[in-house]
Amino acid sequence: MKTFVVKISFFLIPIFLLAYPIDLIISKNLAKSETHAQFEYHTWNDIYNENIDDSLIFIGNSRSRSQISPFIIEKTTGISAYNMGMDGQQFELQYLRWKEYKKNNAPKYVVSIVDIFFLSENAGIYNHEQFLPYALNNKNYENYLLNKNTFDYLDFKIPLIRYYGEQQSIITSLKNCFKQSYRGSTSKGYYPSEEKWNDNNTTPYNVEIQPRIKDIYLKFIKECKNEGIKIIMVYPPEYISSDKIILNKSSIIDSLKAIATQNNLNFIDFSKCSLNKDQTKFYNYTHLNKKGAEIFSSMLGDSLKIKFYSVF
Amino acid sequence: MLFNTIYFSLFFSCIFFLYWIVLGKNRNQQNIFLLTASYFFYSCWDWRFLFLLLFSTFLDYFSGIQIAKHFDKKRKYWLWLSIIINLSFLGVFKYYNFFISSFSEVLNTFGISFSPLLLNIVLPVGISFYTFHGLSYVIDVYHQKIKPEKKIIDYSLFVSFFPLLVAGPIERASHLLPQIKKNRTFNYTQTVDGLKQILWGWFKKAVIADQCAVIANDIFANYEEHNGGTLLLGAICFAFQIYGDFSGYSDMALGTARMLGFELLKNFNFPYFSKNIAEFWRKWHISLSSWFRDYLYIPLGGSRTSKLKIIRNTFIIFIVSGFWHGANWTFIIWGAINAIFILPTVLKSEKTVDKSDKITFKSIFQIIGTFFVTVIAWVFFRSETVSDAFYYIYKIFFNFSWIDYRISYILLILIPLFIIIEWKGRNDNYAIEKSSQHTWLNYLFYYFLVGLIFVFAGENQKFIYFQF
Repeated sequence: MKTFVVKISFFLIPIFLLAYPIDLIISKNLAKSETHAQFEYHTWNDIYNENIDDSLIFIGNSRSRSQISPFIIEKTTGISAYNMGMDGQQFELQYLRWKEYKKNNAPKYVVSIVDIFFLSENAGIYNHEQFLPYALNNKNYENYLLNKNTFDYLDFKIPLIRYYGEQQSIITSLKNCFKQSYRGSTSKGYYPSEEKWNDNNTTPYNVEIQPRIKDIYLKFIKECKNEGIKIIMVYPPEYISSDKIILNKSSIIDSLKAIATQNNLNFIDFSKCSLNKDQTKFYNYTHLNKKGAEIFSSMLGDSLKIKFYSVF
Repeated sequence: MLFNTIYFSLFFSCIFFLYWIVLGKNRNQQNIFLLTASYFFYSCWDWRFLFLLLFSTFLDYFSGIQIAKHFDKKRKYWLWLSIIINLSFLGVFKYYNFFISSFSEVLNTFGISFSPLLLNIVLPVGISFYTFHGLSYVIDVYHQKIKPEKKIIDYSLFVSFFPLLVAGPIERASHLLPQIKKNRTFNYTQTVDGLKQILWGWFKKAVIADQCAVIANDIFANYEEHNGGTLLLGAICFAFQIYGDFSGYSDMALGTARMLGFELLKNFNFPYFSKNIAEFWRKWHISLSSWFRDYLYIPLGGSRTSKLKIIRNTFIIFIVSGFWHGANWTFIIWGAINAIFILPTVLKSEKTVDKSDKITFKSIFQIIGTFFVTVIAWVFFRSETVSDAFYYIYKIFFNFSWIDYRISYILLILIPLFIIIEWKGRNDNYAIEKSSQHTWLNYLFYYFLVGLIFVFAGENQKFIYFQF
């Protein structure tokens, strides 16, 4: 038994010793990726490199990320803006990004892009690769990414475990070994889509607000109020067919408005704006394409400026 | 708790060290400890079905004692009681919905409307395996091949030993019980050998099987959109998936048991290098095919009977074997296809069957031909419905053109590498059993395997045989 223990230790010790440095190398080089994890590393790197010193932050899911140009908002309102929207993530993980951002930054204003889905819960974690480089020993990641059938407790505690089987991420990391370190993105979190209309979905469905996620949102509102950060809730445009597809759309919008009212927040509602009837501005019934996003960003900037002149 | 997870590694590490260091001198304590660990292991899957496992264990334990105690009709009574109750549980959990739906379809064909009450129940993990453990024990006691086990702990460990509990191999009491009752001492060579087999099994499951699964699942899910060449690729990937998955699991089970001082029955013997279907079935899922041979085929007369009965018996074995795998007509047809292809060899006399290991052009041709037949049969095993399977095969043969599917270059390197390693080690218990004389070279190879597993482990797929 002694011989076995000695020999197995000899075999395992190099693995244990190298685990952390290898994890560091993989994480650092993976985060340099321009395109892996659907460009989300740009925003995460901006957060961790403290590149976001803008006064106005947009948070939301893809309806923020692909539909709001911070450049147009800046031009219209005169306030520096950054888009922290997360593709495919509902509020719980938007809040994770927010908490990470708040460790070293603080805006004056937050525009929370709300929609039918943002208080619902996804099964699993979409695009989990975006979290890989930053997850080790991160308590916030552990709190919000566990118990979602993607990460285990040990993924946050032991180096390299979370990279097990992440073939694409490891290969991407290796390819980036000789690439320059990240220097900050020029997109400011905005990634519009140039796709044309490609959605023929007509199967109606209902969406459920998860009480647990709603509580997280109310907690977020309270924290912002305590820190003097002004929140504005915005419901973006959706193509008119969404009224028939999402059966309980109006009741969810009413619930969102009720949250705004109860918390004394302003709510800008684009759910019935003129843009909603123009299919050429959408690529599916819930997402504007680039042309639509530019028009919407301009409309939003004007609304923010007019409605909140005193706020700004 | 899957074998190829860090949680199992931690679990087994604790078991291993406590077993040998703390309890190494006391066999009874070791057995109690292993039994407790096995029940804990099983509870991690679903603690509710632990009671079913316990019931089956006590039933067979008690039946074995009663069978040996009596010399009259009561022996048969206890035997059939055990068989009927065990098979009833298996029948209800696994086959009730299939039978009642099929019955309903037959009635509907005759214009009789019947809406059956279907059960919404989960299949207990490992029920097919531990049921057959128990049955083989009871039948062997009845035929006086073994004496009944009086110690409940030892018998329970035979049924529930965690390396083989959820997906075999299906052990025989005459093989495993003596090992449970024997004092076990730590053996360095045996332990290292077990660890190597676990490593190889992990590689087969995590890299080969799970990588191939991604392609196979995608092609089978969208088979209508692909041409025959791509469908053939999908079937070949499934063939590698199921082999890597099941033999990989078996290797991990055997390796784990070996590290605890037990030698389990070999379950796979490089079946894809077989020259005919009969040889394939001597090398694939050996514990199941030998179980059916000993407890079904031979009692029916086996091969020592008329040709008509041989054909009948062969079809019964393979159809039952197919049915054992799942409650679907696809498995039954899969079994029947294998029966059709094995018949010529079964009907040949033993003297004329070529069992030589010489590699010739003829043998290579036979190996490729046998592999192709098993690939076509696997289409039925994998497909959701019989019509899907027929259409899939139709397209392979009548819509064949070059593959229109993008395969990763990683797989194009890994699969040939895997085949070469398996070929090189085909005369051993597992492919990497024989080590180099140079320790540094061995370490390098093991680090290489660990690296491959770490990087190329596919999206974690469930073990296929857990659903049986």
